[in-house]
Amino acid sequence: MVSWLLFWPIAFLSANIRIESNFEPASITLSSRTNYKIVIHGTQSTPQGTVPQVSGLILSNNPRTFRSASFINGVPSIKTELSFDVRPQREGAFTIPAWQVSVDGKNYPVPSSTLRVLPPNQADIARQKAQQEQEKDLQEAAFLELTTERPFLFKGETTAAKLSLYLWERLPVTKIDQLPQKQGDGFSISELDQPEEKRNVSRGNKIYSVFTWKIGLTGALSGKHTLSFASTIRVRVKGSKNSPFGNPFFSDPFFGFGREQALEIQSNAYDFNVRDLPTQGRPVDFQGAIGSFSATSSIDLDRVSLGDPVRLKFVIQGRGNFSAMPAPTFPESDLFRSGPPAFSFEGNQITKYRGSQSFEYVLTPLTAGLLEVPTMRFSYFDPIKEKYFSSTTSPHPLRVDPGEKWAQPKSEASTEKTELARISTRDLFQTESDPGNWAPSPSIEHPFRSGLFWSLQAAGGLTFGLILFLKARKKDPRRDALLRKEKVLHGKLSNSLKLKDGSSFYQNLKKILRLRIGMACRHDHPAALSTHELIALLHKNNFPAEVCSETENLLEQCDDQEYAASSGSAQSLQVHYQQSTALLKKMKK
Amino acid sequence: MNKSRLLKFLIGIALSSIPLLGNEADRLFYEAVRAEANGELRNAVDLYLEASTLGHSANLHGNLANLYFKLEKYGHSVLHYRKALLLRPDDREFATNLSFTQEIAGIQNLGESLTDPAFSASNTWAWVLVLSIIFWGGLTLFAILLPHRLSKTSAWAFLTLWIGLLSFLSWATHQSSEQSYLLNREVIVIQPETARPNIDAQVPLRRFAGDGSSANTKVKPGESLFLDLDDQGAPKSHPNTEGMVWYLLRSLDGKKKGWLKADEFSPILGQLD
Repeated sequence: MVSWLLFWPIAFLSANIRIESNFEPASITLSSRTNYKIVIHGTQSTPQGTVPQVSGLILSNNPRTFRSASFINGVPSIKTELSFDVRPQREGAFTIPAWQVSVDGKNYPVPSSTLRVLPPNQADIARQKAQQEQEKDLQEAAFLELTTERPFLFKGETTAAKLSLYLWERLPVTKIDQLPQKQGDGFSISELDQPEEKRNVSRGNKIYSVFTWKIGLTGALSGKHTLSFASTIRVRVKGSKNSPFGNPFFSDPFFGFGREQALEIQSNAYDFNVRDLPTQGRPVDFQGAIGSFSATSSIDLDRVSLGDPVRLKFVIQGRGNFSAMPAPTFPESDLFRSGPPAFSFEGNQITKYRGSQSFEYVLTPLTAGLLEVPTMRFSYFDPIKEKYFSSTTSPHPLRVDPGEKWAQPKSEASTEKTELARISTRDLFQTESDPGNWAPSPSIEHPFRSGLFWSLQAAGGLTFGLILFLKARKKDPRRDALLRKEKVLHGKLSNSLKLKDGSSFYQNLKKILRLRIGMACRHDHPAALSTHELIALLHKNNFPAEVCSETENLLEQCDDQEYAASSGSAQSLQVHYQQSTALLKKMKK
Repeated sequence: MNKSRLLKFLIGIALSSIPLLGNEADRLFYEAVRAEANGELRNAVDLYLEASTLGHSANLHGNLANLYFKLEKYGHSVLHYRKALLLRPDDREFATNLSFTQEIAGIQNLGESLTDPAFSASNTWAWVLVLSIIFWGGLTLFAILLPHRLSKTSAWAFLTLWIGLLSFLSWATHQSSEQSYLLNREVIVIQPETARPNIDAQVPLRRFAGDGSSANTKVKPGESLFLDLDDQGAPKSHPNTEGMVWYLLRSLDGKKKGWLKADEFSPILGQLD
């Protein structure tokens, strides 16, 4: 479906509207294109409508629009022209049926139009061929190629491989944007080093510059896997998009000028089978070395004093997965103590495929005499012969002199000394090959200067204090009872206020005031005291004069109610309630 | 905002540098082991000493002590065995080697024989912790149980036991603290680099702080001495006109006393102020 919505300035002139439609040209070959034109005479308003869809024809979404105004024989004429790009998909006759277009809210009919699509002629065939050749040229202009020695790999096996980037000498490459990247999870490759560059390499009918990286390719996952590589280069292309040849890189007399554009290069997809290592005949000491190797060993001294270290060098030469090769274990014995070995590799440090790997062990003889540095065995899998092999080094005789005649210290009476005396002199003055745990200082921090010590004391003190506090709070049952009583009275007071019961209100108020004065002045029987005695008690306990006078007023009010039965209004009850609440708070303080 | 970022950055740098220090010390240690294997004993000593400026480990000081023994520098050897034993007190090999070195150097092991190892400086923390727990634990227990849940007899028994325990633990803590205090003052006599072999085998303890002063007595490299402290708790010292600082030291039993130059001894813990 093709639709459009266009907005233009209002037409300055209108006339009777008439619509024409046709294909220009009306007859084309399959590889050509044509235009479907709709001319609306008598308006420059924006037309609205949908062109019917016809099977076998593809119409562009956005039509080109032309508006024109002219005088023909003194008569003004205006028109709007819409032009759709049309591409045929097959041969035959195609008719766009009549349809409606809306101009200024009125519908007008668009007449039907027919297009004839003829079979491709010789010129079309020649053009198609040229285009295919150009695409092929583009593929041949820059490509990646992987070469390996092996048709398949074993899991963990490393093989030497070459990854070459071919760049046609006419291709104006400015730089390699992205080095070749591996695509495929079944393999791992070594880091890419500086490539070897070769110029004027002929391939087919083209001359190339070739950049080659030596890589170590390792089978990581067993099974059939596809491996490919992709890279991006930056090339300079001509600025114009309308190249007569349709290809921005070639056949341009101004090659080398214009803008830069990234060009993605993809290698072919290589199918590799990664096999599991056979389990049959696998030696116990096999640690994953795959390749073709030979092992030798040597020691730097053949005569030492007891306690002096000897260096044992174990060298593995050949080709294979050196990067995944763990150090062989030096056999444990009572004669030697060994530390972790030092590693060194001689060969291509990037691929680590061909060369020699050295492991240097520092051995400390534990006893004097004519000793033998034991043999070391190294097992590997040969992927060419598809068999496991073991290489064993020869033993090395080593004479260990007893060194100085160290006498044991004189034993003393203590048990510790007796124990020390039992230790053989051969354990004395042994060099430790491992530093052990590091400490910032050999000193011992005094506890009094430690935060931990004081935190511990604080925690203990706080726990103790908390328990004392909790116990002390529980200990005053009389005070708790008085507080409970006060709470009950307060409830009654609020209740009588709600019911506007003056008699009950003042009775309860008097009781609360007495109770509070008794608690505040530590008097055991405040209920037995008269108003004057209560006020005197407050004065005696140095309560402020304001509190005393307010209390006296309230108590007198209560007495008046009790003895004179004066009627208290609801308003005065509320006022006295608020006064008493404030007063009780002051007494609490 | 910027300050907090800067702070985080600095903390990050500080934290990330800790393992780097360890790696560098490790590297120096291994280089020293290789140098020793090649027979370059002096070079090995220098590498170990460089590593000890970055960190301390029992094996580092043990190896250093072994090397000094081979170089017949018994004072230095004793010093580093003592440091190694501070870092790993229960290592019998270090203890045996120290004992042997002291015997070769002709030194009596006086300081160590006077105290029970249970009250050594390295056990101070253990005593303090137990004392704290018993003290606060007992008080708290008392507060919970008294006055209703404990009979009078039980309360007295509990109190007696608690006070007895506290007394013993206080005494043990004090003993251990004393050892710690002594250890802070303890130094090991070493032969200075300028000493003439066979002639300056012993180091003189001078009557006055000066090279021209006559000696009270002589001490052997490897012997333990203790710094005399002034009223402020600082070592009694006297700088001379050439910039050399002299310190007043004495043996544990007080029989030997005199002045030594800073390069004639080394404290077991840390550096001199």
